[in-house]
Amino acid sequence: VIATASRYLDFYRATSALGFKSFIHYRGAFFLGMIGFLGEPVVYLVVWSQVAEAQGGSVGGLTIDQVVTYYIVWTLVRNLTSFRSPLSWQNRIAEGSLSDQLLRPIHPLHDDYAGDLGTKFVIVPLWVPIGVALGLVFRPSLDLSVPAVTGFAVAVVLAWILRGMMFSLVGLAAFRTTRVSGLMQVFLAIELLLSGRLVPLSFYPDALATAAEWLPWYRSFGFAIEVASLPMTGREILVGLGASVGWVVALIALYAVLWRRAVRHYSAVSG
Amino acid sequence: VRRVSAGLGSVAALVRLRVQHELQYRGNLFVHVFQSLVDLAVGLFTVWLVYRNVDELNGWTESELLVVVGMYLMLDGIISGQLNPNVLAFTRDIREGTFDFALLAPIDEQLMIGTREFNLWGMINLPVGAIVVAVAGSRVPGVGLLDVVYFLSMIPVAVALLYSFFLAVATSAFWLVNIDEILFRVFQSATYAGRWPLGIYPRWLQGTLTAIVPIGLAVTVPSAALTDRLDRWSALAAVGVAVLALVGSRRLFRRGIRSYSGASA
Repeated sequence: VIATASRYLDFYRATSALGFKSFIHYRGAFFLGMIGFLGEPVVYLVVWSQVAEAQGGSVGGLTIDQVVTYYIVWTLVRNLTSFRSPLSWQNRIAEGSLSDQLLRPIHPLHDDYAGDLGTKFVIVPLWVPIGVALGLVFRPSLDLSVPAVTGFAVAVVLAWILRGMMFSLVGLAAFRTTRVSGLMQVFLAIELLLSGRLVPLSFYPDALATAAEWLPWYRSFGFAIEVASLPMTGREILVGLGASVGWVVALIALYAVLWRRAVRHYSAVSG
Repeated sequence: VRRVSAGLGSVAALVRLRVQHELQYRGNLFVHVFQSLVDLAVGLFTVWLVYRNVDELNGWTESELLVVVGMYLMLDGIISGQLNPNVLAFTRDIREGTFDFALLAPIDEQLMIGTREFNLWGMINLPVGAIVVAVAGSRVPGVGLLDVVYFLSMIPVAVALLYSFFLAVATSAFWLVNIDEILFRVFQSATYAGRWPLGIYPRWLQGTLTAIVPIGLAVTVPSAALTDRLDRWSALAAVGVAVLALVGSRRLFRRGIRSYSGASA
């Protein structure tokens, strides 16, 4: 077991270093990309701050300060939970490069996770000046207590793993159809509405908010933001992290079953 | 007159060619219709969420804001169907050196690079947005025929603003490599802002969405015309800005051509 774990660790170290090096070459483009991401949360922030102001200082149980903090943490979580697009599976199958990956003694999914992990070491330093600038303009009130910071760190890692699993599950459709982009659009629309990306779930009618909390999209995004930006007890954080772990395990199990079925449909197209 | 007539004839031929090309891939219509419905549903849901809490947002009622959403969708149709495909083809041509062919064509280069691509199915948001504007506009009290004419007359202003922006950003490909990614990001970012009227943003963001990425201005001007918010001086100013943007982007484009040395092997 130790030897296997060590081999995986070596693989992750080498592949994430490769991801880091290839990403750092294009840091300018990625920095602009991150600025590109800003339009969405800044617009939400402005609109919902105005709604809160019109209602005497709060909306959906959140004060203006909390709305501002939510959307600033949003920018970090959005970058940290980005993952290789499901469309990459379509390309790998169409171009036959999946054949290569299937011949290796490690599942292709590890390649995706390890490569993506390396990019995070570029993303975080690039985000810092953006976060500082947003902080200076909008003045958020972050909860920097030990439970909140620790909870946020664990929640965001689980959110990244969970989002990666969801993307990979959507990617499996590429074994059966060439129109993954249509499915991807559905997925992104559901994610936008149910993850807390559009608005914090507390802005929704109660029934919708409760339903969304039980679904994996919230655990892959909004929960991590709420841990850092809204008042939560230690118990609430632990229960939420437990739910995240539950979804990660469930989706890995589902993926294992579907992968075996999907890969049987694969016929190489390599040249 | 003969040059203009030849140019228009060439444009008509290019559009006809692209439409015939697109009609080969009719399945794409369903993908685009679906994406358009998703866009619409998200837009309507967001407006519904806001107006669950307030009656007015910075003076804009729900129906008036839906006019903005519809106008945004209309412009998005023009961008997806016309502006974006042409800009992407243009930047690719500069990178690969095939822009030489556009320079050798017997019509104006700007006309050529602005009209040769056409994504028919990508324009689906144009009629969808028009329906939303029509339905929402009919629910705004006091909107009459003159307001509709006023609204229609401001659409070319909006298109001119967006066209100038796209041309200016694309022209920077003469000096910067791989501009597509930057363009995509900048525009993706700005599209979120385009769904709301300019007036709700803080001044610095209003300035950005007017002067740098003018989608906020482009969406707001026609919407304000329809909802009786655009006085004639503001309308004249918008026309002036659009003319300046057209002239400025044209001059930038000509300057870019002068610095183009060709990259073909």
